[in-house]
Amino acid sequence: MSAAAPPIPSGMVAKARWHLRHNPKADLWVAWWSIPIAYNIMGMVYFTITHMMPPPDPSKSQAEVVEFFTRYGFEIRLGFGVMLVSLAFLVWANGLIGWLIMKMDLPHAKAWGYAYMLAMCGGGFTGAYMSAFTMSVASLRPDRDPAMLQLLYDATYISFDGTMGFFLFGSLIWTYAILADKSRLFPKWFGYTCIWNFTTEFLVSPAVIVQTGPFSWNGTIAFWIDTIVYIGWQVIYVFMLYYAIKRVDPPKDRFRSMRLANLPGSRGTSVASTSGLSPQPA
Amino acid sequence: MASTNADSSLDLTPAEIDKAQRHDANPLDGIWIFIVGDLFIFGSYFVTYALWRNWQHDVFLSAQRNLNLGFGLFNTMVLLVSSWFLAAALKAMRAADWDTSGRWTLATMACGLVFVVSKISEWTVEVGHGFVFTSNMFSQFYFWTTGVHLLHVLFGLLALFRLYLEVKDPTCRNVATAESAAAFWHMVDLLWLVIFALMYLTR
Repeated sequence: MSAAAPPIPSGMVAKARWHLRHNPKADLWVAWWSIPIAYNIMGMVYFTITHMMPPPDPSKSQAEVVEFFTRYGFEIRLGFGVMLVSLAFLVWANGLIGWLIMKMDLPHAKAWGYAYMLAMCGGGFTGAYMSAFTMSVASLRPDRDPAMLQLLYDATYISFDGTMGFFLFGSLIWTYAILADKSRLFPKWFGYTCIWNFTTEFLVSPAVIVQTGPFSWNGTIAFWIDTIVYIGWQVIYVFMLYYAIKRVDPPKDRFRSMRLANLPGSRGTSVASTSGLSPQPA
Repeated sequence: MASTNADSSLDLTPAEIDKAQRHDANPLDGIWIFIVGDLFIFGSYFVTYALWRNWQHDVFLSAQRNLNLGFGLFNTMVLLVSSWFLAAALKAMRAADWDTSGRWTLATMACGLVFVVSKISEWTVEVGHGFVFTSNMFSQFYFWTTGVHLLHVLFGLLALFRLYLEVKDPTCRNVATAESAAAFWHMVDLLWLVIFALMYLTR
């Protein structure tokens, strides 16, 4: 916050306004808040509204698949309608992590930051967008050919599990960055927990091979253990990002400085207002 | 660049910074968190395996006959010997006998490589006999668990290689790194002992 900033007012709205105007890390905090919001919406959509999770049986017959889409058609379309909007929040989250990687003291930090963001975009597109599209398309007209509905049903869960390669490399990049970072932006132990997540991405891979048992897409290992580890890691990772934002230097806010300096009579902390000078008439 | 200076905006308190620095100073903190978590994850695989073994006892019993006990015993011995070599490397390191420590580390890596080659050979023989991932539920568990374990062995080899480089370079010798690498390698050894007992020996 700048030295000339007024004291933080009381009241939630006033406090939020103050932070947006004067906190140099305001954009980072907005990005941080987008993570719990987006994941809560996604959890609600997957588990409560659409009934997509926990995943139904991969060996469902065509008649059972038709019954699934007929029964939950409206909920599926409503849920994915909400999710397709809220998923965009995660672009901020990935941008935040990519930016933090770029701020780390490690060789080729920028390249690793961009690689991380690309990996996560790939995973998000395959796992979230593709599965939302196929599920919504199938539920839009459940009177289609049952074979086609079964194709969309399989495509949904295979594309959901198809995130593993992207997320695996995303986790690997983050692990490497944290362990190699000399500035210790994140504690080293957190880098090791990223390896848990990296390892669990492997758990999903047999889901594209088998239809029953613990390795199928609804199985104990491929879904339940994987999900429990992933959610536990997510909680740790949200807290770690919180502390990393506190520790990192604020971004250089050149755009805001220029804007404030060029606006005569600006209410912000422009050069003119802080120096006590007023513009001279031409 | 990250900052730990108290003059940055919205910084941690000096006590929090001190705590964070003390935490980062000991690399063993990190590796033990990883080891405990990894043991829990593997523990959950083993519980799942035990449940399915109970539900499909006859299938598991007949499928176990496809495994070669000789390969299993050889792999177990190789990993146990490798752990012994690594303990000798650490002992030499604590006595500041870096040359001996380097030789023991190389011997440990050689054992790790023998394990990798032996495991891949074992899989090749089994697949050649028609015993593949999709054969039955036991084969799914077997290929999956030993595959994830082999991945750990490969990571362990990377850690040992890093340790060897540190031992050979007088400017970056660090006993804490050696202890982290050794703790991980012993965990890999321990996991194999459980896998060997569960999949090869239990009838």
